[in-house]
Amino acid sequence: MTQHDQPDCFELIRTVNDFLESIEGKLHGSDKYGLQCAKHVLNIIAREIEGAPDGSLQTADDIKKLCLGIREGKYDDNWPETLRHILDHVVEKVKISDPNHLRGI
Amino acid sequence: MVDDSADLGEISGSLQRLAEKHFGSSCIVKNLKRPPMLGGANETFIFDVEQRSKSQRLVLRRQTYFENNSPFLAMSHQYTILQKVFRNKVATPEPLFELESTDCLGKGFVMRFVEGETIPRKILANESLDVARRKLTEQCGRTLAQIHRLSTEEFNFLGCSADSKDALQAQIERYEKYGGRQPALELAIRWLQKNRREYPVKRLLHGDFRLGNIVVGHEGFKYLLDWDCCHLGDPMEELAWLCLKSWRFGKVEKKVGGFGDREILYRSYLDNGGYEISQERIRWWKIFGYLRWAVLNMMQIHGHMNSSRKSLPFAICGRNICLIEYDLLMALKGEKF
Repeated sequence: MTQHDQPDCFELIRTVNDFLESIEGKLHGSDKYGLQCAKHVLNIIAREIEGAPDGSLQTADDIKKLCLGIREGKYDDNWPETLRHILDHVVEKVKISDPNHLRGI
Repeated sequence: MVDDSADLGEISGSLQRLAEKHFGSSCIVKNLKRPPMLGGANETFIFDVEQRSKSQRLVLRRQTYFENNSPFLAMSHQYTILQKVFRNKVATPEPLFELESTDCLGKGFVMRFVEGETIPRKILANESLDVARRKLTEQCGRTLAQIHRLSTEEFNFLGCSADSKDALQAQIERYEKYGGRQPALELAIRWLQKNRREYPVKRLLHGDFRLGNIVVGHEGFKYLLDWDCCHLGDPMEELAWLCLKSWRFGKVEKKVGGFGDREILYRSYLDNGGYEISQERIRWWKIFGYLRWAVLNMMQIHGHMNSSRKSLPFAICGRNICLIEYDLLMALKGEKF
């Protein structure tokens, strides 16, 4: 893999974030709201790059199979285990989208 | 709120002609503003119509979502509902007139502007609304009872909507349309199908009764907005929806909308003529509510990815789905299969 020059992607994200914060006071209404959304998206990107795949990510095929199986009732007898398994994957997604959500915030 | 007039130029001329048609040629449209669109179906414009030194503030609601099997009612139905509930003294803005095709403004209607706070986090935090928050739960119970007691005869035209006919089937069809491949939502669908409950009455439901659609003043509840998800159904659906974690805006310990306790809501609902509370059905509608909210987010990201209906908030909806799935699974964990 090519070694990129500085700054690394985290520094790039931080710099864009700092820039957005520097203009926040000048914005109003829908622009201000848009800026908050933009900062939120940057945070998601940073967390996603940082928490690179650890091998536990499901493939699209796994997900499709699981979905069809649930619909057909194949997991009815293993309900608690299936729920636990799906919850584990949802928690991984939440950690990237908004980790505060796991703390009930 | 910002008057981004360059952006609004295209509609300001049509709006001036619309105002002249309804209020006479001497009126002038001023202070046209567009509040941020956070999601939902309708675009909102606020403007003043000045005439002979008198001024009235009005709101234009315009359709932006045109897909088949939309979770939102057609604008003409929204307008009819608003007329009927307003006539029945439900606290809602006064509807004034519908747009016609010759107005060149698309589909929509104009209603009177109402003063008050609608931003949930402000309603839940502002010190000036302390009294309002204390009164709000009781007032919500009363308003819900009032809506659920309205004669459904006047609203029969809603009976053929997908959400009125079979609310769960409507969600499943939308979920599939938006490319449904979400194991957590499949679990919810399976559980909901296996645990369906009969309900004794089918009543008029606002369909999206929660902060964001409630205008709050110093004395609490003032007006109810956004009837675009209105349908006929089990009154317990509406009580469950208001108590979803998704509508607590960070104040998770307050189970009713981030501001109140369930017992107070139910007591007020019953005291004001609401229908008998069924905890069992409320739990079913709670799981349904999370499914529905997740599917609405799927709709926004589906539109963002596949049409010109793009925006930052819509993009974020895609990554919000897992937050709803988390709340859904935590609720489902406590249920027997």
